[in-house]
Amino acid sequence: MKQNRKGRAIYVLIWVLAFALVNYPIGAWASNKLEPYILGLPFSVCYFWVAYTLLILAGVLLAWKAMRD
Amino acid sequence: MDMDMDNWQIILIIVALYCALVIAVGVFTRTKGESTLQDYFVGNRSLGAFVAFFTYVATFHSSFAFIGAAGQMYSSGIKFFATFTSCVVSPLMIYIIGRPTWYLGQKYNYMTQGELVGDYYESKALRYLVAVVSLVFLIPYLQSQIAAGGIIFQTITEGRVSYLLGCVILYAVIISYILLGGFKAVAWTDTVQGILMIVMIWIAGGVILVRTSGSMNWSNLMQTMATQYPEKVLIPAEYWPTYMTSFISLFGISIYPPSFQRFFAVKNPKTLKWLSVTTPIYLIFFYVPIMIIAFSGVVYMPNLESADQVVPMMLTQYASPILVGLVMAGALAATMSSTDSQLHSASSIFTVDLYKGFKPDASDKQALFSGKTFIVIISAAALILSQYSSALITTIVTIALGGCLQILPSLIGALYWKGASRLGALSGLIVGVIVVILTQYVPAIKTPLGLSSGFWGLVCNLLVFFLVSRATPKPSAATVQKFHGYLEEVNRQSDRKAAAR
Repeated sequence: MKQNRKGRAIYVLIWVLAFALVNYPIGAWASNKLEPYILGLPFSVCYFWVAYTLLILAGVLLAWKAMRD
Repeated sequence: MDMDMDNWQIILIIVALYCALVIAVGVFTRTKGESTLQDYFVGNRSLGAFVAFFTYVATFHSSFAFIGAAGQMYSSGIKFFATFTSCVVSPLMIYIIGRPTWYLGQKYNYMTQGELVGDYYESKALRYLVAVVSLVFLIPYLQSQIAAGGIIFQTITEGRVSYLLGCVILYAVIISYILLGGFKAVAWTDTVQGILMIVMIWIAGGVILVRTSGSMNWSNLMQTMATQYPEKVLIPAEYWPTYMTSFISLFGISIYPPSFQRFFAVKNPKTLKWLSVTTPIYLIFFYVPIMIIAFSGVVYMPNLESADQVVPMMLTQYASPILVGLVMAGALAATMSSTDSQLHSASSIFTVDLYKGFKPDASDKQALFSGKTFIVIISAAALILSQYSSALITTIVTIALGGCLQILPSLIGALYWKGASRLGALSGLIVGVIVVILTQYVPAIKTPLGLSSGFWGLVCNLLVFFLVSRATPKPSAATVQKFHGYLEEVNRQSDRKAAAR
């Protein structure tokens, strides 16, 4: 059971780290940079779409590995 | 007959066909024979994953996603991105709150929040209070949706259908299919509407990009935005506290009665688990084409009178009338899919919590009749209110969600905290609602530190809930066992199954 809890905590931590990407202060830092341009998008715009994609993936991982049922 | 006349007629015909389609869905999903309360309000707890996904996302994304969000991106740029956290965190509540709710609903036949909370705290007063708070905060949301529907009809017909008539048409269509099919009609029309919304907004974004930039490449558009309007592709640091707390208010979306009702209606808890992490894909990526339309509007129509006009104006300018009609049907779908769920949910709260609360011996037939009558009455009230409201849609929605959010602590107590007491839940809820209203409307204390009223309500609510619960008697041991004992057993079984795999 303890190992089970520890395993779950790792996936929760991954999700929290991904969540931090779209929040203050990391998100605030990234949202104030125009360059470099990536895929034709200013850095700030590209950053958010990528960070939200990572957050969604972290959520799927959380459900797959840590959530009950 | 000039060209403009033809265009509005084509658009109106498409929108009319869409309305006919959703009424047909209502006819198709109606129960043959006599309907029961379980059938009408939670679809016999048989909702599959596909329909559950679309009914949740379509209820989550209202007309604001189509019209208001594009307006916000048009006027303020990507500042709006900071609020997307709500599209990820709110669905997580489907698992955190929804999963234990599903098990309790399945075991004890609950259909509303009020029933569950009232039963745990052994308090009819709390059951009625939760019902009243839910209803009070549903009405402003309803009226905002009607207003959006009226504006859409008025816009697509270039004023030939008046705002009032637009509102009436919207409501006549919605009431028809809700009265016919109840929850199943709401869920299936939501599915049709959810698919229509996402397909149409992506097509519209692509078409506008091609027509304005000459190709599907957005580099030129983004380069122009960054050089001519750099403030619209950046988020100033001082905006973050406001946005980070406004998303807390948006937690309210998942415990908002229409969303909450879906927790009781799904077939199994696995569906809830996957909904909680897959719905953000729809909810967030809905805004990619919205961003393209809004930014194209900034570059090619920089002086719009109202930012909310950007989607219809860009479409009218750059898309064919057929596409305009289809996208406007999508916008109408966004309005309807939220409104129908709110009306249906309001009816279930009235019937299950209030009518059955006061008349427990009433038959299902009598209760259903009162519930359907209530739908007609409350929709008429919201229709009348929408004609007098001048407040911004966003403000209304924020109050509604912030208000409903105040039910959260009492729910957490019933699902997770054995130390919660009836008086703690009652006093927390009352204080929370009062604080939301005061910090929203009293100028001297309006949204202190720039943080949302829902946030302040929740902070005060939690504090009072915790302190009063510590000092007052808890529910009986039998009730605590009925809820927490059962949920602990369910969790143990689930862990054993996982370990065996």
